[in-house]
Amino acid sequence: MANDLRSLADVDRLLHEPSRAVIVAILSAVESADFIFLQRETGLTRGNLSAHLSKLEEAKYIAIEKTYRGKIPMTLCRLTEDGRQAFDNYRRKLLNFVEQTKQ
Amino acid sequence: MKKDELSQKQLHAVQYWYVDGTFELTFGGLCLLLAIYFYIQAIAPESRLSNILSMAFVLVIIGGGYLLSKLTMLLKERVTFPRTGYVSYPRAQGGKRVARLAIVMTVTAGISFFMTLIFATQAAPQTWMSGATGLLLGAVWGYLGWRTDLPRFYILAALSVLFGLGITFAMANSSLGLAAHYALMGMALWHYRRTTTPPTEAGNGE
Repeated sequence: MANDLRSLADVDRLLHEPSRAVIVAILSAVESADFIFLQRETGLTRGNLSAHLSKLEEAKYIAIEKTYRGKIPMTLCRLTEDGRQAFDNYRRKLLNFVEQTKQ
Repeated sequence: MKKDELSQKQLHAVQYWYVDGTFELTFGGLCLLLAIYFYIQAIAPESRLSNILSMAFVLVIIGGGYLLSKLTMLLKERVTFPRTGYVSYPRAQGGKRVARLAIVMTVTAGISFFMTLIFATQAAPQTWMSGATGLLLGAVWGYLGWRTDLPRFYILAALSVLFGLGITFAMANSSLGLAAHYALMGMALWHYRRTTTPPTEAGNGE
């Protein structure tokens, strides 16, 4: 059991937060998504989503680009290679933990 | 197997492309255009126009596919993205992209050759064109259903097979059968579009 807990303690703390995990999961399935889509999918408030995106950007897990589509400004987010690897590792560790605790 | 919440969110992001009904609208339009294409061949089978149309089938399919994607994107940019958000999907790069294009070209060229041969030689299995098309389109819808986990694609797959086989057993003229098949598919897609409730706008947050 001690080993199980140690493996859980080893998970990426930045991603081990439901909202951030969901944001990264969504971005892992697409090339890029804008702020409106992420807000709608996560159900977070603007402020909350902004804060989570900033943390993920600081860790270089996502890249944020302020751009225009036609005349409409938009905030475009995409998962970086570091972010993709971190998310894959995070999921693998969680799955391992669940498998180990089942036995 | 029940998916975990993260997998469901990933799947939902993939499904987003199909939730507003623009795909059904444009694909339905393409089906109706193909219905007109085959209807012309049915009413004037030996005409020069009909022969030109037969040989131009590859261009019709590739051009139709190109128009379909452009029109879908245009509608999404005007209607869907401003309300519910913009999403772009990963595209195959380099060798994968070339391989995919080569497969599409080969399949459409093969179908075109097969059709031209059938129309030119009046071969026996002509009446099976609708059935074969129904099975082919049914496979495409089935693949979309499997990829997106959206039940309506399985319904469309079943409809396509049903229309194809039904027309095959009911009609002798393959062009007219194909026209009827595409017309029915187009109407089914547009009917779905009419009954679709597009996703709601995001709240203002805070």
